[in-house]
Amino acid sequence: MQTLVIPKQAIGRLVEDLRAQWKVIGPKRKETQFVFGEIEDARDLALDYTTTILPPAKFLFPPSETLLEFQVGEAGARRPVVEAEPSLLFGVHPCDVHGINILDEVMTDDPVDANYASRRSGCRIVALECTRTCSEFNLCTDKGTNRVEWGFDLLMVDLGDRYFVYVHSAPGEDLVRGKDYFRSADADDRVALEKAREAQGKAMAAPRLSANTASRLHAAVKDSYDGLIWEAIGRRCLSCGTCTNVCPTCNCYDVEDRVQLDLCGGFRCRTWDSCQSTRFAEVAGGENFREKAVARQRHRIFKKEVFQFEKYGRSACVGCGRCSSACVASIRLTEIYQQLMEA
Amino acid sequence: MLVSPVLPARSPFLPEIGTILKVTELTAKEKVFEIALADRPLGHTPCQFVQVSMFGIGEAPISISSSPTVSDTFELCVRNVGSVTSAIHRLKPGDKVGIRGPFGNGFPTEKILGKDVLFVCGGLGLAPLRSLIRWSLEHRRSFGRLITFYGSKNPSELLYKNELEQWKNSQEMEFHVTVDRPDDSWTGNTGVITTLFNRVQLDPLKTVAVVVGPPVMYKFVILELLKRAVMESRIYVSLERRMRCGLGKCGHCQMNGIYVCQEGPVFCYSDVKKIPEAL
Repeated sequence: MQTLVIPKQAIGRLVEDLRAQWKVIGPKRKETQFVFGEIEDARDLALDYTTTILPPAKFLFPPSETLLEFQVGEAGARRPVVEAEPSLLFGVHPCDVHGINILDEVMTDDPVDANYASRRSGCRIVALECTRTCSEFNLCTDKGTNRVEWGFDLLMVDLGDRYFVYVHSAPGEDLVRGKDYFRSADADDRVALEKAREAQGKAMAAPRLSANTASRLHAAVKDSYDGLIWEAIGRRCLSCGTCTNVCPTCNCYDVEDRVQLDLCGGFRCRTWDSCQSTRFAEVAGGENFREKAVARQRHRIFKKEVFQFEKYGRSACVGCGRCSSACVASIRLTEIYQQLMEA
Repeated sequence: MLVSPVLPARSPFLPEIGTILKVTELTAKEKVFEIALADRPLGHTPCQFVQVSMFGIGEAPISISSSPTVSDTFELCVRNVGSVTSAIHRLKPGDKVGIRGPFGNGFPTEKILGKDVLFVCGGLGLAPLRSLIRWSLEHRRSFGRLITFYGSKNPSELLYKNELEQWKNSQEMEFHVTVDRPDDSWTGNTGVITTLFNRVQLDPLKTVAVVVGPPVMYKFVILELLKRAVMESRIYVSLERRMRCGLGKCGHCQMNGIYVCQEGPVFCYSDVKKIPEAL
């Protein structure tokens, strides 16, 4: 693996150079919070950001996208649509890279979701290690998602006046090739890297849950199916669906036809849907298999910690804390997990 | 790093075009549509379903009700309950529809060969089961007894009335029908479908049961079967969910960890009884 160093003052040039070939998407300020958005001016890039409102995964699985274009009443006139634009996600925190890795696994599982897969294939990821814990709701040190080993093309680590850069893939080599502001990392840089990692360890919040969180959390959640905790959470839940909208690994959707104003052309689109909405599991006769909020909230957490854990071998919750911080009813994943682990 | 996935040659969201060959009105709410795809047979197994597209309105999952041995065309029995199905009801022979599928695991026909088979159909549950019943009648010598129970709310909602008459008069299959609410002309059985169990003697060592009906029906029918010592591993159910994508992704049909559109809709009771939210 190639290891490089780039001075911080060269980041602006790097972004400008990347913009020649890619739509560069990175963290920006939005009033008091941060969002991922297209970086049209490198000065907008806010690499000292804390957790963004929506995860960068939304550029791979957008809130709404067209799947099909058709002519109303002419069943023969239709064509598939793939909305994919070569994009580069810049400065992605490790937890969000884990989130994208999990989405990749689900969406490219057979039968492959061609729209997601095309978009993912044309996307490059530059990850950025965190220097501190983003918020009180993070579970990244519990989940082991404060570091990431794969799923990116470049990984940057903050060394104060410069970034240490791991080049992790062949497309990553293309990203740095011919750019003279990168230089090979030397022994001093490696010493600085060790120190930076040590400082990270001190600045990051210690795990909130107990040791061996992954396997113990799976068992604790699985055992809780009939527990009163879900009733307690269900009573507070407003079924607004915010938790699933901000989740980096939620991938449920609905499909609807949109007809243009001339009533001739139309599009078949998918939009995010939420397992928290009242009618999500309703069938034609009116029967609803998750009629109460208690069943829907339990389903959300079970999907992350039990169903996907058992299918893919890892939890689908990356501990980013978004669902907890966004919940208007103050339902906190951190508290749920603490309650279950101490039970 | 991500190894680029092999992209499917064809978008899984792109429907093929089917032509309506024949429309038969069964009741005030149900019609049967015989459909042919443009350039291939559908190639389904019993209890699979297709996604039917009405471009500009949407898609709806519909069970295939014809036997797989009829391969050049297939039949869908559609109840007019929503925007897509009411648009389908306006179709005439020669009209086109979009078809994706077939989806689902289909019925494991090898599990019932050589057995006495009891089909229990409630209401529109006859539509998917008809595919399996017809297939079984076509392979009659591969079975012991064939028994069908069919329950309907009232006589006017009975589906496939001509075929029911044939079944009633047939030596090939024992056929029993009941309605919840009889009208003046009804002379047959009255009562919910479980009342039919007193009309036959089942051999628990030989019987396999296949149950398809509205969600409320399963637990009462399964209870009757268990009371008669039918083994849990020989009870099959086909479950209804609101499948949107058919690809195991959109989440609507998810029943705990199981995507019904991929791993179902046919399940063995001994597997499904452990799954909360299933029945």
